[in-house]
Amino acid sequence: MNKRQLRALMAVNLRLLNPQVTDRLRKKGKSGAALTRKLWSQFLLSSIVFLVIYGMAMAAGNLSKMPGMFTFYVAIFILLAFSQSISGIYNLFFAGKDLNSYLPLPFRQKEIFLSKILTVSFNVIPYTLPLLMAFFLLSWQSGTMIPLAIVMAVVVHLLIMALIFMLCSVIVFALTKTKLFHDHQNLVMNALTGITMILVIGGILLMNQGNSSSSESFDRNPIAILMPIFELFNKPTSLISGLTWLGLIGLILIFTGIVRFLILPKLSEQLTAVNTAMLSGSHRHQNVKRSGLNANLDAYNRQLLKEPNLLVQVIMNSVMIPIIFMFSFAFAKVPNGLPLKWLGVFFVAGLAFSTFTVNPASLVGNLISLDRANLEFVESLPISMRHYLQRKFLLGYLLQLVLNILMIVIIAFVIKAGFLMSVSLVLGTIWGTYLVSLHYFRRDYRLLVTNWTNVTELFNRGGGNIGMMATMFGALFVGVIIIVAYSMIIMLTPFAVLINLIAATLIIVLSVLILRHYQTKFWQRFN
Amino acid sequence: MIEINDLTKSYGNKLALQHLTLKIESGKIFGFLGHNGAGKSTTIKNLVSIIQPTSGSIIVDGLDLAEHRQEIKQKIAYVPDTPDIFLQLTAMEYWDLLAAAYDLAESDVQARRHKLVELFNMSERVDETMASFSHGMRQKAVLIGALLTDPDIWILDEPMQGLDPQAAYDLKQLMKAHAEKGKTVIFSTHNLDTAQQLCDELAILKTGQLIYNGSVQDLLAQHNGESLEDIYLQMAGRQGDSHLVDDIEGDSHE
Repeated sequence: MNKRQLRALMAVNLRLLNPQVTDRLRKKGKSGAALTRKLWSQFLLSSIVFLVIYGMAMAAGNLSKMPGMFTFYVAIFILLAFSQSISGIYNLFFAGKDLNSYLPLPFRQKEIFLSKILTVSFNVIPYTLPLLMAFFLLSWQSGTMIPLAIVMAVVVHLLIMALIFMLCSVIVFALTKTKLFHDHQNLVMNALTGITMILVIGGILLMNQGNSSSSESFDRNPIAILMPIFELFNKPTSLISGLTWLGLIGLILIFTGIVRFLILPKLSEQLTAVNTAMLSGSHRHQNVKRSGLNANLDAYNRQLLKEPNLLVQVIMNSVMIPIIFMFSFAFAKVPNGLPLKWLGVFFVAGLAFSTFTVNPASLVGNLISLDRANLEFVESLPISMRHYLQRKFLLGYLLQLVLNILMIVIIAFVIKAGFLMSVSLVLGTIWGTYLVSLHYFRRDYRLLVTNWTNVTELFNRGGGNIGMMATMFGALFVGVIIIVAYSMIIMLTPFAVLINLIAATLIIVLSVLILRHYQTKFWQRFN
Repeated sequence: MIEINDLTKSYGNKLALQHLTLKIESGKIFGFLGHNGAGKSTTIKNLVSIIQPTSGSIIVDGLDLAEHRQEIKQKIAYVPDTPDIFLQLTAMEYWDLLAAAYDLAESDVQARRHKLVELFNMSERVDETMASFSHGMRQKAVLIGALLTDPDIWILDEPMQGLDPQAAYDLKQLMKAHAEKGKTVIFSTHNLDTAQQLCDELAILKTGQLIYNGSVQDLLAQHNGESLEDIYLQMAGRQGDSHLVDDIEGDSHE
């Protein structure tokens, strides 16, 4: 292993993953190795902070008495890591615009593979920190000493993550070898994402269907296949625990062998072959005569969405992660036949849902940066920038709205919300999506990056991927608190109508303030 | 020596390169000429492993590129046709990355880097990101990166683009000096004066086919008294109708 090459590649990847954190640190005079060290330490520090936050959220229950809940967490975060890794591996190995820059350089195959996989892990691991926390809590609550519990949790977490990364690498690398992929890259990757998404959402729904928790017990039905992991922490000295360790290590060895002998020897060849296939693909568009500026702008904006892997990433971040987090942290069944006084709560739930699903990785929050250098050129054209950006916003908002409505309808169905409550939920989502889309559209302009090489760079603007996770988790946390507080007031006070009126007034006033803010701070500057 | 044997490259239904066969001797400056889309960059991208040929082979110092990609990459320094690479890195970080890629000791590259930075007048800007540079500055940074590693073969795709006259002159001198050491310089250009000044040998491509391969002197001798520009335009042919120039300008004045 050439550690120097690995370090050099990792340094580049860290900067690409956190472009704006990097810029901020550069302005403080950091560069070279000092900058790399600072990026590492920031990543570690924010991971620890998040572990503590997750720990506080999870510590309320005793996981050692809730095998069902534990296996549910494990399943959900394995599914999340799996779906994120599939898109991450494809994105970093095959879809980045930097492939042409790396291919002529004599980096060794092992170093390229390791550096990219480590980069994928930086993107994925923050989302799976609750799993690490669940491992630690279970171990600790089962009577293991804290230092040993920490070591066990970290080792098992790393083993499981390594297994997922290797399994996903095998899937993606096998797929990119096929003739079908070489002829239809986008179609194959979109199909793979679609299948992964169906698997994840289907898995979650299935787990909820099989849940027969009663009012006496907070636990759910354990998932049998994951019980060995529960036993590994709950009874660390038992035979089943030993067998689980052996099983995990055995699987790691098998997958390491597959990667070592089937992927690594021909890695450069495969990357070059995929690059060739991508360059060889047809870039012709159907030549449709469009009249009018709007039709042409809309057609251009739709072409931007064909950026390879963009939709895959957007769907992952805008659909799957919110759904997974909601089902793991904030899920409840709704009693039948709720009276009309609950309409307000459902409307607010729709608003809160939007703040969670529209995030830095949403389409509407990246559409301007997708223009790359075109934006500067458009500014030189004799057309209104306000009009140009409005067309973009409209497209982004409508696409996000379709996604959000689809998701909220599924959720309304799962929680059996009833017709009127569902309508209120959908209306809240429509309005919330509009307001939050405005925020992220303006944020995209404020944090504009036009020389990106990989869409992940765009998603990680601001606070990096930890920042994005913090935003989503924060939105979920605040949303849940508001909904719970509103529900409690509706339940406990006899003045539900008055409370709903106050809530409606608050929503209207806040909406007007938000609209005015973006009107004066954003849209008017283009007059 | 580099041997290109029957190299063909197609992009979908479009043939970008057709049965190209060439030998490029060590110690020579070899130029690729041709209109846009003639196949110059496609040939170069095949040589530097960015793409794979549809058929044919490339042999470098007796090693088949398809079989020995890693060893051959170690012998090649490449400058792409657009210098918009590794934009998030500072110039110095970019050169460090290349030194790691070619596994060069810091002590070995330090002196050479210092000289190159001074030569291309970049010493004030080495800690700025590539993204903040103008096109010409980026080109200089990428050139320094390629020259820094000092491998046997330089492959430069339109290297003079965006360079100021001083830097272009210096680069030409470096290319000559590199060839004089018995090493190989391959480059593509649209500038016929540059080609005439520098090239020991030329390949002229037209719609993916080789229409001339030989020395500049031989080519000039074959066309008594004509300039390389005239000879090239005759051989490569005109694209588009020259009368349209007058028509278009006439339109705009009406």
